[in-house]
Amino acid sequence: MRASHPNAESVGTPAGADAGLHATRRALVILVFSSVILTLSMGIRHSFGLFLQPMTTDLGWGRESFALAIAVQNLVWGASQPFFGWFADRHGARRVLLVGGLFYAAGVALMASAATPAAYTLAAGLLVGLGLGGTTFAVILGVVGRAYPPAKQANAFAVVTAAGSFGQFILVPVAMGLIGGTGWYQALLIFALAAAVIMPLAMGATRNDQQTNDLGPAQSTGAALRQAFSHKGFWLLTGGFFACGFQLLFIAAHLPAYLVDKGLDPKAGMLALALIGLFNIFGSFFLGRLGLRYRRKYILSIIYFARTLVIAAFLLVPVSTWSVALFGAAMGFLWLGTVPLTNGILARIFGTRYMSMLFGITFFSHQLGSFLGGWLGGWVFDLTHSYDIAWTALLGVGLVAALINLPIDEQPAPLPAVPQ
Amino acid sequence: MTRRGWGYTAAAAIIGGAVVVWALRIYLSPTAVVGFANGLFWCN
Repeated sequence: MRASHPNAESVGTPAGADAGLHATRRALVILVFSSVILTLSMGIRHSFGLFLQPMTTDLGWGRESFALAIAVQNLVWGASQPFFGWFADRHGARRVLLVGGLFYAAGVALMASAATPAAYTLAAGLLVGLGLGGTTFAVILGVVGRAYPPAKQANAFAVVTAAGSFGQFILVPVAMGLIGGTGWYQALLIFALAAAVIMPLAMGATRNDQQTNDLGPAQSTGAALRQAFSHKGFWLLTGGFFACGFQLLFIAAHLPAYLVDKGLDPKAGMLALALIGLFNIFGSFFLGRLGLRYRRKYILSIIYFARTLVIAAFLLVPVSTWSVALFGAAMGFLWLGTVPLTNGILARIFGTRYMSMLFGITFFSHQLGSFLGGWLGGWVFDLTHSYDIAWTALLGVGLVAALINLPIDEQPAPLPAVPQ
Repeated sequence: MTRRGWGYTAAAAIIGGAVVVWALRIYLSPTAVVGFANGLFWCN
């Protein structure tokens, strides 16, 4: 049986009230440091696309070199999250965040000085990918989840995810300002310094990691994996998250080209991307907080269903600047709200002891979906000279995701029987 | 909410609004449109 949150027993006395207040402040400090880390780690990578043109022009590389590095980065990010998550669960998140911050800073600094496309792929693909694996959702949400009692986790997940979304929105214009003002080389070095700041921030975010909350059942890594892999809800959640990545990367990568094909001014597409970024902040926060009041699987299902409706409406009405802006705002609102909810369901079913590892596995599925969404979108276009099939696949995948979240049993999973 | 709470909320709304307006202006600048035309604007 699970222990209750340590604060819960003692709040009735003045000393208990002091301890409760202290624990609340401690959790708030962890939340603030974690939010700033995620703002930096998500924001810096989000701006890399802006470096493509100035770098490839200056260095005389083909764009495919740059694209390959970004593709490798996404796969390494996804593949490394379960391992970084496992290490954070077993040995504390501090060392993971420190190593992740080091990889990230070194990777961005080496991106600036890479002399060949291969060196660039090593820096931007492998090192930054590992840096992302150590400093983003799986590790950070684990830290935050362990700092808060179950009743307050949804709120904390919503805040920290919104901080990541804020980083994505705000560091893109910062990168543009830096590239315009100092050139891409200096801009990358400044971003490397910003990534290095993750290391001292990690000390604040992990002051009490693994000590502050009910972590769920005591079990080995193998037992936790067996428990998750034999739970139908884990696979349904992982499948739904695949759809999330598939939809989002297709839109992020191919919407610009789609709109130009439809004869729109590129500025309209830019407006859509800006609105996606802006509304993503509010959506992550609002949808994540809904997890406090309603069953999270239903909200997840509604998000996937709403995305499908929004995409269908966008395809059915004549394309205009207004329809693009509305599409951007609506999709932005539905963009990353899936993260705090997916994580919240995992925490509820399996506890927070192995949350980083388990979320890392579901996130790998998200990244595979992202890879396929981006790649298949281009492949289908090259084959048919149209995005129609890809958009249809997006609708189908969204509907499947909406349905498969419904049967998830969100009740805490029973502890496996221990032989006497 | 207390008066201090309303004060913090108003200050946060003003600062947040200014940051959003600044960011949107840069997003919609010609330089951004060039970045957008690269097709890799968002490296999701």
